[in-house]
Amino acid sequence: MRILKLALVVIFFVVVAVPLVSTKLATLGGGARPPAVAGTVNAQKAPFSSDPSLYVANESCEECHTNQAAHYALTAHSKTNLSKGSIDMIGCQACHGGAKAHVDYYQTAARFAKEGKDAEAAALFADEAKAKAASMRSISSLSSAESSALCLRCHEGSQGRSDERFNYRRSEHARHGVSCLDCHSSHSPKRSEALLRDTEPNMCYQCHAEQKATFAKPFHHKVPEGGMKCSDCHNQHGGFLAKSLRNSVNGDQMCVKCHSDKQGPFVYEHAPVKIEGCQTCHTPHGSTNPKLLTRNVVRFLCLECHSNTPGIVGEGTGLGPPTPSFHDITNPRYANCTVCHIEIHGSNKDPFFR
Amino acid sequence: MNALHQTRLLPLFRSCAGVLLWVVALSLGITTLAQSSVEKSETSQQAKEPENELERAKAAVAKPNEPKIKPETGRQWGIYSTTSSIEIGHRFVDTKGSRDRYLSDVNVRDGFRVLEYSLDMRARPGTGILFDTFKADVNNAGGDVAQNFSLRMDKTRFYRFDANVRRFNYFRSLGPNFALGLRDTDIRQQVSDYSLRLFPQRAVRVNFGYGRNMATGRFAPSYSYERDAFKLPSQTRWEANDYRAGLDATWRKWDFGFESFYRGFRNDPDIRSREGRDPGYFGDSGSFVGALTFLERDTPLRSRSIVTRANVRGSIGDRLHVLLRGLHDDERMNAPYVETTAGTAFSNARIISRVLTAQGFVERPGNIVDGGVTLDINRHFSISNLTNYTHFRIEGDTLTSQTSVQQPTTGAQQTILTTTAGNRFTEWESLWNTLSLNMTYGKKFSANLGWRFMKRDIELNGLYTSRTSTSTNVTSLPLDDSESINTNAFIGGFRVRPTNRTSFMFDVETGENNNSFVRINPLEYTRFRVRAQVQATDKLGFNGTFTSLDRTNPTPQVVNDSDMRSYTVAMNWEPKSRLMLDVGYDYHDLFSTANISYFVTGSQLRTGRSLYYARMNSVFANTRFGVTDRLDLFLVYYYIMDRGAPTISVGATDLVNAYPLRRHNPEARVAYRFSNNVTGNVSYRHYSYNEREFSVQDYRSNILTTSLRFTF
Repeated sequence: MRILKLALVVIFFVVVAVPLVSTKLATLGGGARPPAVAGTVNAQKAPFSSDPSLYVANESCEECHTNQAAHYALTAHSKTNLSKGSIDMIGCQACHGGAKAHVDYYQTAARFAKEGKDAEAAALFADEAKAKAASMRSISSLSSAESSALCLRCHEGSQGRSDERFNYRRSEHARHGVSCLDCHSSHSPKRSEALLRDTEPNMCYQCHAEQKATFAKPFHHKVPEGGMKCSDCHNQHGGFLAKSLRNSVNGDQMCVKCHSDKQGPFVYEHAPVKIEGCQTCHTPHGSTNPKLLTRNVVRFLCLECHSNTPGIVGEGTGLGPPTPSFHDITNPRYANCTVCHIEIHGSNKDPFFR
Repeated sequence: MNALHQTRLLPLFRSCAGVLLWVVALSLGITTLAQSSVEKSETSQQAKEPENELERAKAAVAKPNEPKIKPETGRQWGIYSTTSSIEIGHRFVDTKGSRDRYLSDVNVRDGFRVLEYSLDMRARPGTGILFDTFKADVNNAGGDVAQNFSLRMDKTRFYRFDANVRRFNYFRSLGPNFALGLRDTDIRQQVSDYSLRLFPQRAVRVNFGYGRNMATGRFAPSYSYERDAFKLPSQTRWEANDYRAGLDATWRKWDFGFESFYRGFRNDPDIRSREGRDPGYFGDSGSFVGALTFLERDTPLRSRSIVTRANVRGSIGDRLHVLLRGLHDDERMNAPYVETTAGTAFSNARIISRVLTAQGFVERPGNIVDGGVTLDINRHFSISNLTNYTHFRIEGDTLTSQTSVQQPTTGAQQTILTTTAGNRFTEWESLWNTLSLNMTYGKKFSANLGWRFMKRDIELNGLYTSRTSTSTNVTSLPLDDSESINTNAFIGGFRVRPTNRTSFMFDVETGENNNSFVRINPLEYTRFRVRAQVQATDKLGFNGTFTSLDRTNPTPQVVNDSDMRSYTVAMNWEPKSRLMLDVGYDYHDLFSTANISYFVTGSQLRTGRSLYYARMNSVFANTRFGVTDRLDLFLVYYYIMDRGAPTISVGATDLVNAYPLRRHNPEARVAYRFSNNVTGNVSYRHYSYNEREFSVQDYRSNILTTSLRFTF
């Protein structure tokens, strides 16, 4: 295992170094710079330019792109058409860039065709420079960071649910190259809400296929039944906790949003509940063990902490009480700790949760 | 030889003919039966909806002088493009074996259902009078294990309203598995949330929200009384009501938010003993002579939480993005407790009356500050830092008093008074910081490297004293401990897309994490994940994932190791919109060992290991066949099998813990589209569950669901 870990770390650094080295070598060798990514350095489509001379009225797009415009008209994005904000934040051009050059180019071509100037039209289409200058920003050609940055211009703020996407730039999905467009589709969504490409959890399973197997276990949160969604517990846009977990409103673990009776506070709180988290004893997605416990027999779950922890050397006297000697685990009376210690999440009258 | 062939072929022929007849009968039968879908698979009717959606959109945006095209489904209702559907049906359930276990696992019951209802009305933003969008959805209403009701309305620039109500049915009765406790439950839980946002597209937004979470039903908590265990048939009822109000504002590149939140929680269970004399779980045998003849418990628990949150987010220039969030939480709980019992003590004395009163009060104030900074160094590199600081304090006090009037087997009646006093103080402070460097090279490569630092300080103080009128001794138990610890972890990963159709992802996280137990050393862990996604063609995709997690606790007394490996492969083939095959296999291997000490007969101490094994195989297959233009066939199969512990030799004091079981879950569904507006469904689901060690919990169940879906 140690060799495998070492090999993985080496592979990791090698793979990370490849593009760095190759880019550096290309520069040293006088190699051409990589072509500019549309929407980042191309002046014609400077991504966030608000120069009105680069834009046209949004109705111009509808004349050619009829289907897209019809579909767009009933989506949430078309609300931007009512906005009084900057022109680069409105309609099709908010994402695809200013269309002035694009419209001029095709209007000229249409005029040539109408006037029967086929040669001029052909020459216009053959002029790569003009064609390139007239091309709109293709979102699919952008890297995940670039396409996401485009979406975040509007969506990073508190539109929709408050602070939902505040942390996208620091999210696990962003770190792993998953962009907004991997889950959302402006023009061909399968779900009208949030323009999702597919329904939850099916969309999540496309990458996280292992969770589909987990949710098939006998005890699971009601995701397959449609009662819950992955995004109820995980903030796919990035949260403040590991694994993109959400907080409850009061900063507790998300679990207490539904399991409110476990929220406390209790006079005697079982330390793992608040301090360590529910996952100390429960596995969240699915399990063959009832109550989603990490062990199928409760006493093992308890003993793995409580038979060892008191009196840790150098750590004080220890709070976890040792198992009293009358707890004969061969006796059914003591086979299950929670038969007596029933208020295991916390008690308001007994330090031993009875 | 011919005769031999005939004897072999004849049963085969009969079987095929039987299957064919069954399918034909079902196809014909759906004309008279109401039918249903268990899986929400797309029928031929639903497959047409994307095309119809475009047609509806065109109709909605058509100018007055343009010809109107009527879509096949849905309608243009004034300015609204409208679609609606309803699927109603009935479930028939037949269970053999352990019905309790079936209900604990599956919990699908007989009855009428509104399997799906949907109403979607959309107008061009800003054109509606009361609303631009109205969307209502209902799923599995009428008694299924999870039911959903949702409503969304909005009027651009004026409001957005969301309502969501979910109902869950929880059933637990795992009788033979005593280790899982005596807490039988049959509970209905409802989680609902309503939110209203005013002026959603304006610079200043106002938010209001209300949430209600409640549970009612039967539950049977266990009770330890006079050395025996008693099951108390009781009713639970708790509810949490949340109210929130806040403001959001946008100014240039900055967003500001403020919200205030109040939660009130109440728990009023009705806890009583069984009628008559309850001899306890272990009866009157041996030393278990304790009995309960009367119990009534009144525990009207009340708590409240007041939360104030504020956040600010924005960009300084084009490259520096910052976020700051603060939260203050003030929680209190008041927990009175009155319990009256009568019965027999373990000493065989008759307990005439025992009254236990307790008054617990606890406060838990807390603060959280989160901060995030991202600097875009250039178009390839960015550096991010995410910080979380949490502090909370729990201060709890409780006093109990128990007056027991009892009649010993010999001698005079006694009155024994027992009082306890306890307090617990917990102070917790943590800092969690993740610094990461992210790289992006076009579409083909992205990578990240990071470092996570965690610091945690915990202080626990408390005292518990107990005094009894029959003794001059005072039992005191100090509850003091503290811990202060720093941990570090390394995170990293990369994603390579050599072509547009392939993606390889690797991520690793290794280091220490102090989330194992309180008071002991940090947990050393290494988690890595490798994922390959290959889109062989536009219609055929593969996904393979390997996940590994090794955890070790170096504390000498604990010696805890846990190794997990998970291997998953999945394939999705969808050559046509109505032909689909989605299959996968997952193998999950978990082995954990921990040193434990425990007592056996005669108070003899044993020291050994707790060994836990899970070796789970899972297969899932989801297929769809568009047999004709109108007829769809869906086949679904889930199989899980845990092989439990391998054949191993363990020490005499080692205890092996595993749960070998298997479950088959095949399902078939036939959907026939009578017209663009009506589809009939018949589905059949089967469960076959088998445990190796608790065969009394085995069950088989057959669920037939029939439904009709109307779209209009």
